[in-house]
Amino acid sequence: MSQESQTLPPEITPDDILQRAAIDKSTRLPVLFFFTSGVAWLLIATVLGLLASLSLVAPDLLPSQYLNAGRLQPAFVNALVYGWGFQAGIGVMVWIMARLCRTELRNPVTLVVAGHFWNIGVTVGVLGILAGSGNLHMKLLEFPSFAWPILLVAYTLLIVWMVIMYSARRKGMIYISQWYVLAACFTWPWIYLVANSLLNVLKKSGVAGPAIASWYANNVLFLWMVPVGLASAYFIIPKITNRSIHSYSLSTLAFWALIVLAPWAGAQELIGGPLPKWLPAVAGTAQILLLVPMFAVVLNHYKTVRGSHHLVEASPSLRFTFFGGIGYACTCVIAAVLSSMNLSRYTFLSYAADSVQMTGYYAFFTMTMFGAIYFIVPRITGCEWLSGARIRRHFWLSAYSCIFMCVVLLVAGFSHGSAIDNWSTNYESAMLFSNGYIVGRVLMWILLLYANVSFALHLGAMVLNRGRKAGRPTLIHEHAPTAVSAPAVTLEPSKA
Amino acid sequence: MNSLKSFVLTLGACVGIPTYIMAVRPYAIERERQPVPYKAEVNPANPAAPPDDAETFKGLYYPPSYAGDNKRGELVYAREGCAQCHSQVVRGGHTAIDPWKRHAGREQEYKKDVPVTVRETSPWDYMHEDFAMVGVRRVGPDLANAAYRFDTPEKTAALYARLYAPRADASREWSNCPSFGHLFEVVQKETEAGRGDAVRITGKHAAKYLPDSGYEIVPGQDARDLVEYILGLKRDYDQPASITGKKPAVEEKK
Repeated sequence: MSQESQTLPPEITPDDILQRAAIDKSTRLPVLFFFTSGVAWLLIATVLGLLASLSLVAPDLLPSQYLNAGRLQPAFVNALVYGWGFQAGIGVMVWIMARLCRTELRNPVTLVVAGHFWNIGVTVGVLGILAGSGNLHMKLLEFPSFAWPILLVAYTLLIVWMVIMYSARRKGMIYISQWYVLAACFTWPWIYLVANSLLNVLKKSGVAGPAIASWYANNVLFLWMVPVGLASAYFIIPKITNRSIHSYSLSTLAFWALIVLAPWAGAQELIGGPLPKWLPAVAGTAQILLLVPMFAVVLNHYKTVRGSHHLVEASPSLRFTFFGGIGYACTCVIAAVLSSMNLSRYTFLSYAADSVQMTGYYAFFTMTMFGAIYFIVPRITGCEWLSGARIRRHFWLSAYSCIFMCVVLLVAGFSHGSAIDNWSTNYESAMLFSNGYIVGRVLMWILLLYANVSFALHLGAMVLNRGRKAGRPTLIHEHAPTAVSAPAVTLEPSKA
Repeated sequence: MNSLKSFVLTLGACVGIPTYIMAVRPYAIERERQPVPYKAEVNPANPAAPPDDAETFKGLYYPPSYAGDNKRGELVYAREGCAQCHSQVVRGGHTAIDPWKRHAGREQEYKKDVPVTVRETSPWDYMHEDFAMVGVRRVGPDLANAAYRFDTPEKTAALYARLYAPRADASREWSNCPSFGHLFEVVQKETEAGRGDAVRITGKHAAKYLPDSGYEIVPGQDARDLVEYILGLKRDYDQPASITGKKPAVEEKK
């Protein structure tokens, strides 16, 4: 497909612009539904994350029954992943799919029904965890056993919709973002179904249980969040820089490398555990090899943006997406480092694994989704973001606190783990070694809460049509050159 | 690759094969795992083995008892999120120094020149568990062989007190374990001395946790189940020669 990628973007006709406006209008209801309920869950997750990190610093502060550390931590992670992550991701998937299939959205009701089911499932799950009916020993499968079919049914409706949209598309080349969206669409229900049938239905998994849960949790990140985040990045970067992807064949290669390698990883979290030794070894190898598609993607994006870095400064969407790209690279590097046997002796089940989670879920995925929301919402609501200063504040607060949190957790993991893995120290010293870092995490959650509340209010104004009516898009720095306004590139390598 | 069908099929192959190897196959192996007789040549699954021999070794299977074989306690452990901070695993000596850490196994006291060694945990140690509680994080102390830490009535009573008031004792002020007060009940004293199973909280900060006079704290059913579960956590039984490849310890004693 490389030869097509060399062709210059075709001319944009007024018809194209009208058609895009019509598509955007047709996606308004479902996409805004997913974005707003996702952001509501983001706020809940931020509060839960703050309380969870607080409960490790001041354990007697909160009432013990519903808000103890053991229940808050899984409630926070699940609210962040299933409440915010999946809903923001589905919103982006739907919009990108409609745009790239170049057809107006059909069956919006299917999507809204799916969204309702999804929200019911997540609400039941998070409340179930806090009320004490969760499976809090299964990583990312902590929802009570009755919640998973609801989520699966909701997601199945989404797949049905995707397939309908895809078959109704206007013929032409398939762009790489569509591949990523379709991959995310089909892989997650498969791994979710397998993990839940083995662990929640058949049970009696013994020591395979934690290996399967780690496999599932790792795949949620690398087989769902990474494809959705990259689909959005592959869409937004060419649109805003007004260029085609640097090398289309490289992006294809990176796609298949990711799909081939990612499903093997996960069990490396249990190096040294009571598993057959080959299991973490194979998983760790796959995790380290996942650096290859990461390098390909990052190189490709960097080369595409090169020469127009002033746009990263000016455009909110590009800036968040760019930060997300760095977050993706960091996630892969930290995960690969922790997969090495020599280092994992210090980081076994430690805060360092939380650092991978926060880098992956927040620095990469959440920031990329923010970028996508800053891009999509003005197009579907027909008004512009209220203020660039507000976006700038949101960016810097989020960026600062999630970088700080990831570093702090990584250091906390190493110091806690090396204190445990030391002849002369015990858990008391391990606790004292890591406590300062855990206090740092609480402070960062306070900053994130401020950033996310401000973002939610901004989004709320847009949804209620209180945005700026002027035609020019809101930029972070108004004095910067404005090549951002008219999206001129059609993403398809060749237009039929 | 423009057809959705061929895309989905390729995707299915790429994800399906690792699904089988990394998830389904380990699950099948663990589900079929059987206890192993200490004398290796006697195979309970093999009908050709001499019946008198099987009789001789009846009950002498590894593991002799199942760690955490208390379903109600396991449920409490799971729903309170204990696994979010406590692991139950002793890593092998090739990976870490877990086997030589004090408190890791049977030996609790530090004795000069007496090395503490615990066996690395193996899949048999987690048999009969619906999901091995290896743990999500290791923030607090490891509980793979926790039973040995609480194996006298006094120590068990101290465990109840610790679950109710983790920081009551001056030596445990550093702990950030939450209090599980909701597993206990505060009841009116029936006699002056109080019930035998009432929780006795002692230590520097005990006053913070004590109920009003005339009342006492007694463990509820959930707290009892949880403690029963913890008292069953033993994962250091000798392994038969067929697993270790060494001369079995049981035979040595004869």
